[in-house]
Amino acid sequence: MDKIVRVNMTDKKVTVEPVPDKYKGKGGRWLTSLMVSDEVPAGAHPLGPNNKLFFAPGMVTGTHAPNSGRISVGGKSPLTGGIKEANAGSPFPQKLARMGYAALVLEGLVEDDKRWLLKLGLDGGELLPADDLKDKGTYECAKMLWDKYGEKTAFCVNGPAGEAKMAMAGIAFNDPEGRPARYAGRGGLGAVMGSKGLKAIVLEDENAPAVKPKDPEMFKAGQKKLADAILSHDVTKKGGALNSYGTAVLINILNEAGGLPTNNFRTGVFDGAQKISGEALAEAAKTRGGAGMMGHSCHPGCIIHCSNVYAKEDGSEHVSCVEYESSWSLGANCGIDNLDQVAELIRMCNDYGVDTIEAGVTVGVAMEAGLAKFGDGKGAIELFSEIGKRSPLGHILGQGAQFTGEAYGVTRIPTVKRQGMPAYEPRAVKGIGVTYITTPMGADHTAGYTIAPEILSVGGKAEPLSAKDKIGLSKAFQQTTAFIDSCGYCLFIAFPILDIPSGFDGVVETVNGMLGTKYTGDDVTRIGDEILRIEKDFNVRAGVGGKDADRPPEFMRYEKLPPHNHVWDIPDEELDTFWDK
Amino acid sequence: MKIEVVLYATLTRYHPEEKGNKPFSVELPEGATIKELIEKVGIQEGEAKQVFIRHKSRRPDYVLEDGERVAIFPPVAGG
Repeated sequence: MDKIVRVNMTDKKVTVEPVPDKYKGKGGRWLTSLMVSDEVPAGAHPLGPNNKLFFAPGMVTGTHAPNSGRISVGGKSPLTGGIKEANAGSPFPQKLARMGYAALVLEGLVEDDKRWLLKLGLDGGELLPADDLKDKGTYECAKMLWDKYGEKTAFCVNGPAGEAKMAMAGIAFNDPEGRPARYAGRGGLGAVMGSKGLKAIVLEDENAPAVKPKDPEMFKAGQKKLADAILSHDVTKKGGALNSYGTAVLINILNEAGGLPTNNFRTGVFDGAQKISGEALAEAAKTRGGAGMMGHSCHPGCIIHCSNVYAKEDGSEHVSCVEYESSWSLGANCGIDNLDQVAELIRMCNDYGVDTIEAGVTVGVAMEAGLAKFGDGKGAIELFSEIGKRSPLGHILGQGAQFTGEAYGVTRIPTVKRQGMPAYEPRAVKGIGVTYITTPMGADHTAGYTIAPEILSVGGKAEPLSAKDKIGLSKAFQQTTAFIDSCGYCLFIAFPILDIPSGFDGVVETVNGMLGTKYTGDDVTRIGDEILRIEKDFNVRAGVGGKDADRPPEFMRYEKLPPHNHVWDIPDEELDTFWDK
Repeated sequence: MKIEVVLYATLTRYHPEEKGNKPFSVELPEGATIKELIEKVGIQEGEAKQVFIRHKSRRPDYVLEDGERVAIFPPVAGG
């Protein structure tokens, strides 16, 4: 990975340059956050000519290291106004890495309303007119792209919501079967892509060489340690929870713990939880047959297989994938307990090209405003279709939960830095609340997944309702996560490596084997911390990094959440210590 | 005393009538613990990772009370 490709949408030039020394040996989130910090003026309008969009495979992506097919996408977020890194698993970054690209940079701005497609090959690329894809849903685009460029190509595509510059728009990457279903979803980066008039990227990687580690022996040893850890840990092994039930296996346990946000964060328990759970998905796959399956994977080389395909009653494919976050956001959070309706809402999100988390939190807030009734799946589908119609209401909803809540005078808006909260109630699980509040990304569970010790008893055990010692817990998770996101590893490797020390060693050894570095376990924390501070610094310069931005939504301070009847009780002064060295 | 049990994920195979997540009753002597309940249901040692009663995680030596609802999970994770 010794090249950077720059795509300038103003003059339509595509140029390839060598990776500057400063960026050598960096990948994924490390590289995108560093480049955003270096190249995007903090005051830039997210949809203006000075914002850029960066795509970077991880440091070991493209190799045979297990579960390493992740791509980071970075830029200034139209949703939060701060720095953003959103990542996805797909064959796309594996091909990008083998083609030798450490990063793809999208810059400039189109002056008209035309659409463009970037066709990227080994030695550079060209921008082709793509008005035939204009305003088309991602499913139709995906089919057109594979029909035209062949099923061996990888692609990413922007949906109509991104073209309309909606702040909940994500960027869809293909799964191994060509579905536009693997999202760099959070923070509205699809709107940035839309602002630049780029509808899709196609990778033609024929004859791309294998990625060669600098120290193959060390790399191989690390690869084996990591694979052994993944395949032996109870939650990631074959026949384990993730493989058998998908990520939605969490619905029931969060519900039993009283931490499953329900009806727009009014309570932590949902009566219909079992009907939208991983168990219900597995049951549907078994009884309906046809296209439905559990144990699907988002990229070759994944050995966990947590994805799924959900089938309609007649066995035909409805959507992939019903994730925990999606089943919660469009299910429990809206009081909807009908899996077919939830699946339809997810399919709509994928087709419009929007983040399912922001979508569900927004519908929840809209229900709070009286635009539909909690529990009314049909009403939710009808309301959500306004986004596809691009009606004035659709444009309001498309801007996300905070904007929608403000438009309708709602006070219960579950966001941090204007980004919708994911599927864990901060009043019932305090550590994850610290992550939501302090991460430079805006409310984001993946930034520091303290749910592992707080709820799942993975990587130790912490009392979820206790306000004590949660700053340090979240910080440690955030640092390690920033490093994992930079490797290109799926975050789910965290479960085995938290419990199995040799798995953690394996991660470090694959990176060292790949790059010829001599990183130790301590460097993981150090580099992770460095990445967080680059991101925080950008936010401070952009005006969303001050203390006021690192606060919970006010209603969580005074509204007790059933069933535990806790409020948010970690003092602000303690939150402010997060950035102390 | 009578305890109501709910099994989740891979543990549903221990349901006495193969009815997945459907709650079922277990008769136990007064003073029985979670550990004894798990043994009575027939769950193999080490398979039950988390037990919730009234929305709180409980330890194996927790002494059960008549009529309590007990939710039992194997190791699970996601995101």
